[in-house]
Amino acid sequence: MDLTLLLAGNGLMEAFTAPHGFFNFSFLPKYLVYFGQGVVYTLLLSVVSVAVAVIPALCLALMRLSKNKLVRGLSGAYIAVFRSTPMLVQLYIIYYGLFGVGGIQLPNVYILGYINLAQFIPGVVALAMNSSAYVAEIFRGGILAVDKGQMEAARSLGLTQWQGMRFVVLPQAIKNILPALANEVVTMVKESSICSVIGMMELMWGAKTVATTTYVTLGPYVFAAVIYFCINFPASKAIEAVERRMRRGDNQ
Amino acid sequence: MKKFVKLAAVFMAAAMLLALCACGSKPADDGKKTITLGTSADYPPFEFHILKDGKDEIVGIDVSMAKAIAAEMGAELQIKDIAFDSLLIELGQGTVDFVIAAMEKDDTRDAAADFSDPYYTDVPPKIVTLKDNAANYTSLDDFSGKTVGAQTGTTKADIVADQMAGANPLLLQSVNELVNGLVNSKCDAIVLDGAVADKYVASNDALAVVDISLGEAAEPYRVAVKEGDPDKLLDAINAAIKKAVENGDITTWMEEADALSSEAIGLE
Repeated sequence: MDLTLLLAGNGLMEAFTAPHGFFNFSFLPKYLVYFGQGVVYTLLLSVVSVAVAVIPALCLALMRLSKNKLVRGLSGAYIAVFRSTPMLVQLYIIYYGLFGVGGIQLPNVYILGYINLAQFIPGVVALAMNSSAYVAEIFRGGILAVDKGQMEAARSLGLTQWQGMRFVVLPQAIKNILPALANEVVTMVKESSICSVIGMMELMWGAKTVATTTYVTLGPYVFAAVIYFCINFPASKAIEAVERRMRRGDNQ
Repeated sequence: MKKFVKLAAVFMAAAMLLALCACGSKPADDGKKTITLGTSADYPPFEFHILKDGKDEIVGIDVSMAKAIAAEMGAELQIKDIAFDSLLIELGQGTVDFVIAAMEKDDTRDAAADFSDPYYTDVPPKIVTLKDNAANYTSLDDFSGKTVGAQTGTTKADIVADQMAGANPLLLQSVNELVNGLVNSKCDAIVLDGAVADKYVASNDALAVVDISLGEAAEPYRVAVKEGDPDKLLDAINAAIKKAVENGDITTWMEEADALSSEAIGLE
């Protein structure tokens, strides 16, 4: 018998049975609950973070488009700081700085029995502060993509700058913004995995915990990757479909 | 300008809303004192997660020790699971009251925290490598030019730096990552606490302990409290440790933790 084939066969078996095997999912029936809770935590964390980020992001975007130099500079500085430093560093600084000693002290209050608000809120604040810098750019791009003539027409009809923005430009900008915003949630589902380093019991944390408890060292991460994919791939496909539908009215 | 004022108002409102949810929920005060343990629950058999009746729970020798300390104080125990290298940061910040995490006393840690009497002495640290390579290593000099892994911020990391001349250290956050590094040839050997090394070798046929001694006895594990012990916890902690050592409770907890860990691996 061909020796290489035999070796490959052994390697394949090992991938399913060895403690460090790639496809060793033997932990599954018993420890699925960690992944289930993790998915809920991850989704809650990402959706809430992006939702919280929307209002500050809109403010930042409008400030960025303001004629006042100071206002423009403030917003530009915020965006620059959050886009030019790593998310992980921001998380540590916000968790141990802003919510640490001398900062905002949160009590340990649990929702759903395992989501500790003393961790969840700092996590949301960190992700939202970071996300608002990116979402601000999405808003700015969306607003700038609306033809300049729209604002000019609004102004010539007697609307103020703000009214023109609120009733004419923003409603049209939303069409450009919504798909990008949904994509930001998808990004956040992946990015939020760094919250596992501060012990938030999301999906990545679940994988880590199962790996250490069962001594199955690789399989839990592979399984977590599969779950992340199963959330994000259909989500981005759905967003693409919505985007296509929204574009149907264009260029007629 | 009016626009700016409006914007500023919205921003302020958002900030206040945030602050409001931050302060909204006050801790329920039921009269009983709570005491918060900081530990890094990725370290069987000392502290690890298990599923008990479908619910996540942190157990292990150190957790049993913490329960005894809480009982000694007449307090309710809360457990916070934190990465090992952040434990003393949180202790300094006061978000946890004490730390038990298979932690030895050393000079750097002693400067950042106060330590109790010893409660447990592990067998000395061990070097783990792939079974096929275990015979290649007979002295610490053999690790020259090799990559040796250890957990960040531990005494095992110091061993790699101080005792293995010429070895390239690979410092990772958890033992699990180290084992992954070893079996996927990211490093040639890893240094683990004795009890932890034995557990991993027993559960993975590909691993073996190298026959090199890293000293006769390990540094004992101690409980850490905030530097200066401002809440005066050490007396009660030392009393609880004294009782546990004299009654032989520690041995019982070790056996219990081993059984729980084996059951967790059992996967049935």
